[in-house]
Amino acid sequence: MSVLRAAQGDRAGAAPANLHRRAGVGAGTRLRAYAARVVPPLVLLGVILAGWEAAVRVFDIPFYILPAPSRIAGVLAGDRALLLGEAAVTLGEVLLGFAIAFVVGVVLALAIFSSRTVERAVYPLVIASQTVPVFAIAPLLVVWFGYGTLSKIVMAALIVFFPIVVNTVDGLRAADPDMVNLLRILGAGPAEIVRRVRVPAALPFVFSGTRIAIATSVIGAVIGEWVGSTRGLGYLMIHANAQLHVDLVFAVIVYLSVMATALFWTVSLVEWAALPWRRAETAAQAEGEV
Amino acid sequence: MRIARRHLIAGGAAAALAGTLGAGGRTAAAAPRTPLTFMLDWFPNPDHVPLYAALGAGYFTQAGLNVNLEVPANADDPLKLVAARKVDVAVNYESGVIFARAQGLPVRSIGLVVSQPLTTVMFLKSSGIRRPRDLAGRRVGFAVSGLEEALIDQILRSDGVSKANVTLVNVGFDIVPALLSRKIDAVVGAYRNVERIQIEMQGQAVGMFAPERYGVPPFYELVLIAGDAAIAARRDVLARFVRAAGRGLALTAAHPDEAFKHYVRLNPKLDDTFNRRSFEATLPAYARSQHQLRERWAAFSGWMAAQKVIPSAVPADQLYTNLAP
Repeated sequence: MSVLRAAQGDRAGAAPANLHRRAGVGAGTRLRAYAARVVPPLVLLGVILAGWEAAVRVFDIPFYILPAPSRIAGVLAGDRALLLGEAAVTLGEVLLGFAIAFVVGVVLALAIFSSRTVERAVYPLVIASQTVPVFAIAPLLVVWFGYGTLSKIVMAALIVFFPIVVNTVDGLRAADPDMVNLLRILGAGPAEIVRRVRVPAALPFVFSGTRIAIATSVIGAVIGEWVGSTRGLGYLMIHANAQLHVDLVFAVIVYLSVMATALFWTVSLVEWAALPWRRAETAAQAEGEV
Repeated sequence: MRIARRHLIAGGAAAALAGTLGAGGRTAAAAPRTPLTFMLDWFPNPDHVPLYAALGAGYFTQAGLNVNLEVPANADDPLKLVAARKVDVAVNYESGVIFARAQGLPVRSIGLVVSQPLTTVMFLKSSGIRRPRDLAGRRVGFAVSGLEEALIDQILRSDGVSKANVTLVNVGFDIVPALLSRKIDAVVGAYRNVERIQIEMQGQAVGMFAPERYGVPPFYELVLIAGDAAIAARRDVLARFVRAAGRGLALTAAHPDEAFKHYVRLNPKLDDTFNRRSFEATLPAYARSQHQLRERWAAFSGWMAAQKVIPSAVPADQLYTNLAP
């Protein structure tokens, strides 16, 4: 009796402790998983920068061929206000271009998915649109849409458009056919099947396409700024190049890379928040790795 | 028929090859020619006719040089490549040398190709623009050169107008379409020997403001550049190059048709009306001497500093060296 009670008491007393311990392990694992994600790229980046700096010093590479990271860092700090101002312009073009392409792309993907006629008519054109060299049409876009922001937004949108359409179409097709049949048997209409099964199945694909698209859309905006603009990082870049301000050109490249990377991770973050079931999968994977 | 034509082409190529070899062969037998890498500022165009004349007439060969001609991907590349000693001599601009030197690149001018400004502020006569003041309230395009704002500012100020009164628009490579489609009213950086001809060939009358008439110090449009280290180590070789280029310029002045024939023989794709007319428009601007004037370098460098496109004026003796007076 007393033994039993003691055991019960033990269990009762142990349970919260156990829970607590498990929570502690969870936090530790998460922290470790986070560190495992963040540390390797930072270490690699550090090694690359150190090697770059050392190579420039050892081989006495002139700054106009390849400026040392320390020199670029100096420009990043010194011309901070200039760089941030131009970056805001480019970021605005990228985000607007992306928003337009996302809406048009998803609507078009739904149309392609829903109708074989639309698919046959439109899909080849969508693919062909991707083979047009952006640099070749950039001057034309400027003539059509003017020297303002619109031509840059269109340029960014053109680059974003393709991965979004293709990934969304693939995603809509990826739904489990058994699930689709089940809903059909239960009397669901096509619209409901799309909403309840197809869209959730498509979302991971849409996010994959979006991640690729948003990172590359920066290129579109920059090319647009090269061929006709007086604002933005792309314009700052060619202007600095014309004045042989090579370290400023590299500072602009750093900004563009950081911007593209940040956009990429922002989309990942939105995906993490929007798709809880994916989060569980990823966590399971991470725990499996650990 | 087909075979016969192919033979004809092969025969022609062989003859041309024999000609090149023959020209080089004699000197090579006497003394090995010094190899020299020479880069243009841009793809071949009528500005370069005297250089192709020197090449075609064998002046470089006669100077004991084996010139390897290269075309850059970008007009700023020659400055960097010459500074880094990847290229021995290159064609560039007076402003380019000053920008480079202001950033610390060890390059300078050693000779001249085009000794007068060719760049302008250009507009269609039909726009109603008659003097710089008429640009107020209009859209002015430019191709990025690093100098465009300074040029338009000087020209406007000479007529009592501030730069704030015009809208500046970067038109990239599309100067002529932008003007013809009236997306812009005028453009900074259009050449009186290139865009003017292109627009006139479209049947439009062209108006221009030449910067040297509105307070911009006259400058050398195209110069020959070399790196400081190369000048120190190979002064004699570079001097021979400049003298041979000078002979090409003299040939162009004395016998323009002959010079142009060399140019189109070496660039068969450029044998057209535009190139012929552009060459005729460039003729008065080619350099007559390889002697560079200190005052010109000093004045232009000082003007660029006054316009704040460089932090401070670069001393003239860092900008040029007369190798072949």
